[in-house]
Amino acid sequence: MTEPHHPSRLELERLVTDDLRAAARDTLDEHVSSCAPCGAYMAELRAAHAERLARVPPSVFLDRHRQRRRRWLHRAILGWTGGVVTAVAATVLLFRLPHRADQIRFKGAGISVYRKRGDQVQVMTASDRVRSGDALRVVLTLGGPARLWVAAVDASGRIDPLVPGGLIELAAGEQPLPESAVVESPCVDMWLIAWPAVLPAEAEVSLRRMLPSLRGGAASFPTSALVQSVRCE
Amino acid sequence: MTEDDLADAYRRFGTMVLRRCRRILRDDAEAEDALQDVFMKLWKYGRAYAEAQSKLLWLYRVADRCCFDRLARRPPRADATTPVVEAEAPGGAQRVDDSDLVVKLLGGVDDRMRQIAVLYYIDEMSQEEIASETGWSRQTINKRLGRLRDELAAARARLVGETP
Repeated sequence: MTEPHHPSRLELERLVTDDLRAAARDTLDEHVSSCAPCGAYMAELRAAHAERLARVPPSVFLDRHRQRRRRWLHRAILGWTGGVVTAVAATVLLFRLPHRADQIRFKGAGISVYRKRGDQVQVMTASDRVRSGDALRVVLTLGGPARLWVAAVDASGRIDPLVPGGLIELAAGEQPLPESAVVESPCVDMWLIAWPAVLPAEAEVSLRRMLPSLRGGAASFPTSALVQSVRCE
Repeated sequence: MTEDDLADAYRRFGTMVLRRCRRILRDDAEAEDALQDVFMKLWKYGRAYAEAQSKLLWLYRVADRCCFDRLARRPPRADATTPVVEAEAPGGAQRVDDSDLVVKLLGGVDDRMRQIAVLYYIDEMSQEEIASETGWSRQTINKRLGRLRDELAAARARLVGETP
């Protein structure tokens, strides 16, 4: 004798909630009417359903649901408000604080110096030195287009723009400055500076303020500036 | 979704959804909260419910997720607090026993395994029905159920102190 095939719990629950199509419902109804265990389970489900609705009628359940909804809305409004405040604050910070372009330093930016001595041209490394008569070609590497103030500042406090007027607009990538600088006699240690979007007058005032520390060897240039030191032999 | 729609859904399906939540959570008070979670989802996603072919299945899937989210957030505790006594579905004694263990194991399995386990052990679907419901192959379902059975056997052995 084989065990009768009973519908699943889910099928019976769909039957009791009238969640089945007519054909499936008829088939199950037929089974349940002749199957004591399934009939008992259906009776138990119906009793539980009736007991639940008597104990927590829809009006009571919906009251709780409304409270839950109010709490959710309250939290959501707080969240949205917080989000808007944060976004506004971030926007203000974004446009107010970093707006000064002199605070921006391009990623991967740098200065290379090519030294021409006689017929020899070489890229200067940290250990290389210059002497009077050397021609220096400055090449800037930029992550994006920029307007720069470019100059040589020596330890005596002299500031020589490397291009006429000191300002130059350059595109992204490796950009040689149009003119070479010649090391004068006597040779004085210097720094080559490329400073994004700063006015020449402003740059010169700032650098003059830095002179004491430059002379003392504790040079501290603005972080936005590209700086290369050039030492004499 | 209007309040009348919510009231209708509760009147028709509330008890069944609550029973399912109790079966998974083993805690009456938490099951009541989970039922409210389900109805919050219903309120938010009423259109999907309205379009669902089977309203009860839609609510069950939502309830499963709500309950498992609650289980995931629940701090570890020795065992279920309130024993939930329900009538067994006909012919489902072994699966009902297994389903107790399955619920304990489900916290540590992936979504697909969890869905198969729920359909098999809690909804008592056959493998064919699960394949039809999920769109996954019989082979996948069979393989995953096999792995789950091994884990159940190991868990049962741990509980009674036997070697599986």
